[in-house]
Amino acid sequence: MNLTINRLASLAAGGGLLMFFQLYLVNYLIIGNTAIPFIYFLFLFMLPISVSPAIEFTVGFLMGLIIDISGLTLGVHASAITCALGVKRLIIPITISTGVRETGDISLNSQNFFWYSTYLLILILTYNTVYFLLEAFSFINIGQTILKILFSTIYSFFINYLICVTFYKK
Amino acid sequence: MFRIVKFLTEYRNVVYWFILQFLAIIIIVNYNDYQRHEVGDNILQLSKAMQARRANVKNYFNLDKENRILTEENLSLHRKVEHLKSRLNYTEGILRLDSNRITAFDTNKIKKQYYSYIPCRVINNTTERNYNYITLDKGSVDGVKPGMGVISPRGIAGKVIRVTKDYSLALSMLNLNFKLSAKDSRTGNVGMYEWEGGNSRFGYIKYIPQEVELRIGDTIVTSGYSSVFPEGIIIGILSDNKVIKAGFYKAKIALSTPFDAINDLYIVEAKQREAIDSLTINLPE
Repeated sequence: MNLTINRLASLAAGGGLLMFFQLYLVNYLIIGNTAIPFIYFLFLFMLPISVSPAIEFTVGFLMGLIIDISGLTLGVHASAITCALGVKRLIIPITISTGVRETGDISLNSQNFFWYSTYLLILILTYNTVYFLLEAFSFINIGQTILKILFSTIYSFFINYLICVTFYKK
Repeated sequence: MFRIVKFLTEYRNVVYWFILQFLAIIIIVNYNDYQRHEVGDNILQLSKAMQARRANVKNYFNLDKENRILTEENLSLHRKVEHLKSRLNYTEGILRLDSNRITAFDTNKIKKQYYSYIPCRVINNTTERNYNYITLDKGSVDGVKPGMGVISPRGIAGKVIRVTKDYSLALSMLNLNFKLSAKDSRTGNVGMYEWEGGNSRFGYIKYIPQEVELRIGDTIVTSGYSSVFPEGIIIGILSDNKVIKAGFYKAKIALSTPFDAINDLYIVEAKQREAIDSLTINLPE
């Protein structure tokens, strides 16, 4: 139990840091107005499966709303993160191995490279798809929106993976 | 009834997920629906506290670029002063030569000063979206009103659409809804400036007839028709004139304002705008 609380505390602290970076520094990492990295959700994607989905959705929704308020995109991030967390809850029971179900931990330490990469990629793709479709709110520039989704997904995946390997892998 | 309760208990997470999603969609539709200037004043004010802090970090990173722009602006002002000085000397010379004209000098013919400028700082600015906005640190207290133009030391930047007591929100030139009457300074032909999303360094000038010879490198400036901006403020340099659509040019412009590094802007107050606009009200069809 202590271990879980410690783990949750360290995840939450990391989540706070990621939020800070997302709010104040990520603007300098945007490439050519097409590839926009999102990192704040990594904390939510790494939350153990034992955490209640309702709590996870609420925290995600509020974090999304904070990012929205800072960027005048009210509701867009909140909707995208809630969608991504919904997908997380859908794919975990289908794909996760029994060994992991016991520990409930979702990180590179307990998962193999292939599973974790696919998991991260699917969630980031879901997030970006919802975010950019809602942001554009039309199909007029759909080509450009698709490019944004693809490039931002690859870019976000790369940065998130880097953060995992650097800070979360023991 | 029991079944409904049972269903809600069993699928409470799914139901909760749908409630949150529904809430998000309501927020999006109410506060965004394309025209994000519909954002309520309270949210706008709240957003300032966060954005102002971010602006401090950004200003620090942009100091170098900002200095270069200020130096350029200084230089161009010096040139203008010199130019005006020489014109003044010339005019004084003429007046001395023909003293009779001095008595005939009609003060009513002196050109009225149509525009004044309110300096302001950028608190928040986006370039990566389809509908970009600039938040400025001047509001109704400083005399800012919706409809005023916003220019940077290098050229046009946007147009004020919403004002609170201390802040204002401007439609950036990088917004699919931003349109501006523009002209080719070499030929004088008037067209319409529009942005089509994507690259923040390029926009388009449209509706110039294909008979006109547009040359790459031509300067595109404001036409002065809108009464929002003075005539002749630079929009950008023509960088591509190949695309012709239904007899009209759709020419690419390299925008002169560096939107990734704007900090100090000016809000343009057109003093005679209301008087000019009132002329066109209730015109006979």
